[in-house]
Amino acid sequence: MTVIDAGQYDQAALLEVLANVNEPEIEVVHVNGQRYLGCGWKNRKKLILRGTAGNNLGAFAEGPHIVLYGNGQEGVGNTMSEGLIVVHGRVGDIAGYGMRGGALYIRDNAGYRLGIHMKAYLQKQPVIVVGGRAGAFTGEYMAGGTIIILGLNDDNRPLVGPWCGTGMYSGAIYLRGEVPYEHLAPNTTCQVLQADELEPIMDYLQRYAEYFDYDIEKILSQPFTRITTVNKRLYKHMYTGFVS
Amino acid sequence: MTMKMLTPAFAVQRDTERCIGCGVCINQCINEVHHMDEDGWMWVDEDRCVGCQRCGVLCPTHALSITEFPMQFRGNQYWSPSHIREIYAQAQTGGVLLTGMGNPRRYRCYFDHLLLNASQVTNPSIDPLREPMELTTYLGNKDVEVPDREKPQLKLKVPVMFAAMSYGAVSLNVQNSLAMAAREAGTMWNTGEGGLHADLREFAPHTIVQVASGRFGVNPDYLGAAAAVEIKIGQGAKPGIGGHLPGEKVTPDVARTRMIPTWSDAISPAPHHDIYSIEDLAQLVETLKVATRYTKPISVKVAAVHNIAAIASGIVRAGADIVVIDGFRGATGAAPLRIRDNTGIPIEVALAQVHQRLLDEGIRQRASLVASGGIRSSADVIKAIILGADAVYIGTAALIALGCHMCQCCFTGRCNWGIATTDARLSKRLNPRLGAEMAANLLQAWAHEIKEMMGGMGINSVDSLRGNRLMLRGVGLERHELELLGVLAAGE
Repeated sequence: MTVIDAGQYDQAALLEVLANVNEPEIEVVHVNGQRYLGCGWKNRKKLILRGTAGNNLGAFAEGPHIVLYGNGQEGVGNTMSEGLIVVHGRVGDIAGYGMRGGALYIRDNAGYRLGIHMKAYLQKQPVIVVGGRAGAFTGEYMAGGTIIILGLNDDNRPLVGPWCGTGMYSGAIYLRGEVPYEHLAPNTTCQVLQADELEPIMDYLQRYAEYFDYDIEKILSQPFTRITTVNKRLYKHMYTGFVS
Repeated sequence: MTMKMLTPAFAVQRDTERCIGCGVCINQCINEVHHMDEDGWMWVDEDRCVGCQRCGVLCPTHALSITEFPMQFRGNQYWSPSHIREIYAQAQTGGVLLTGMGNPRRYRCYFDHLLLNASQVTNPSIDPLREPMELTTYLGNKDVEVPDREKPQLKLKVPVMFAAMSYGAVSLNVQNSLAMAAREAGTMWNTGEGGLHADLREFAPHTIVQVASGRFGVNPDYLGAAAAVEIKIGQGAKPGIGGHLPGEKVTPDVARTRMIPTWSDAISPAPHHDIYSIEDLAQLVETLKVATRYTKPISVKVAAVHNIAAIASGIVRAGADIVVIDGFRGATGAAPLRIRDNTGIPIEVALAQVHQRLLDEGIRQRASLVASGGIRSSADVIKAIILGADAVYIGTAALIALGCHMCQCCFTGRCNWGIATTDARLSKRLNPRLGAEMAANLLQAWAHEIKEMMGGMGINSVDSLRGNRLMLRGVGLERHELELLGVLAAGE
């Protein structure tokens, strides 16, 4: 495994060096806000990052396995189409924007606009699991896939900020524990799940526990609520065709 | 529906002496205007007619004529028929009026108030039949003072490209026609924001792929299968709002291309949610450059709006290699009528202002300018180039070349000309080989005309024409309009 010291390079040079490492596993230490790491990668490489990754980590990627020991900034997994990103820390805004495949595991909190316009197609079923809570507009315009918010940090703040699921027309958001109903968009519907109804997300929960060495029983100790959409053709009746 | 208030918009008249009862009109009209009863009598349901003229054109005996319905509203200089009809429609449905194509209203068209120069006596004109004339245009960053990496350029043999029209909004045969025509003519076609169909990947060297707010079908292969990547911020037909492909048009094939579930709505939010500032735009531009390893120019398309010069300056500073300005006449498959008809500014003014602003700021060479929205002829192309464009996009003109009759019903998916539809039966009406030939013919004809007009001005290279506003004079324009356009009045 190649180990690269990010402190030795400026951003462009670091990306160039990374692109030219022809090994299945690369570790980068002293990451300090460098942007676009793993961006556009179409491979199965494992990229281990230590430090704080800059914006658009893994954007447009298809396939890499990125493990970040530290915090991510904005746009983690932006428009990602396949791959796995595991963040041992928190992430900023728009994580998983337009994501259409792969998985994003975030140990702590996520910022605003998490998973906006995520979508699914056949076997491409993206998933985002957040250990803490997420900001406003979580799952806005969501068109498929799964977002899970666990609220494990127990700081008594709402699991999601306002406008959760606005304009959502497919997919599902799972909230663990107390649901901030006042923050859910009017087109959404909630269902509190029984223990035997957790099957669709059990694998994701177990992976979270495994990646971050967390007790699965503790995760399962609170009820889960599934948020889906009432109307899949939300805006169909808003328009009148007209020929001038 | 409450009560009947309107006559049909169109009258369908059948000359029974000519009609042979062949049934072509019945087969051709997806709106079911025509039908034949058991006794062989032909009937029309004019309320269903959208005036696309398909039946009239294909009728073998020319027995049909489609005209505006003769009954008119009482004359009123203030309340026009369209105002009244729109209110009726809204009173009956409560809906936002949805329409297609570009702004058809009567606003001043500056192209029609600009005249070209020609050489007489003192400098010779050039005969394009005898002398070589250069139309080749390169789009991209041409700043030589920043010696970082190589700057990729798009090469166009003719400075006219096919504008973004997504698969879903138009049929695959339309995209296939334009892609083949672009390859034939040495120019580009643009996927729009609906992804790139697998059958069209072979046209990669002539393809511009779009990344819009919905991010449909965007992945490394998509970015790789193109000569350039275009970030779509806005479009002239509907500045400030997003897109909405109705579920009816999302067939299994469209779904596969966009990578969304079949028959579900495809909504593009109004903003890119990762772009709330010029700095954010710079970041997406850079992200796409990194993702494509700096091998392709990155274009940014915006609608022409009030502060377009400052916006364009920001876009160039954000690292865009190509800036596309889409004027308020730009068309679309579906837009709210009020937005289409009342938002944006004319491309001529926007272009002149952007070009001048970029020159004044010393950054014009850092990006190419593409004008789009309502380019109707080679004369509009050449005027746009003189006002500062490097090249133009044509959308509506390209569709007209494929048979579009401008009925503005693109949003219904029931296009009798097989253009703005994903219905398999309708799509087959456009043969892509024939479509490619017609679209390529249009470009060839325009290229010849541009050469002739250039030759008349004594100019043999399109490079010498760009921003060369002494080649234009305005007629019937106010002083401030002339100043905005940067041209003198006719006679000056």
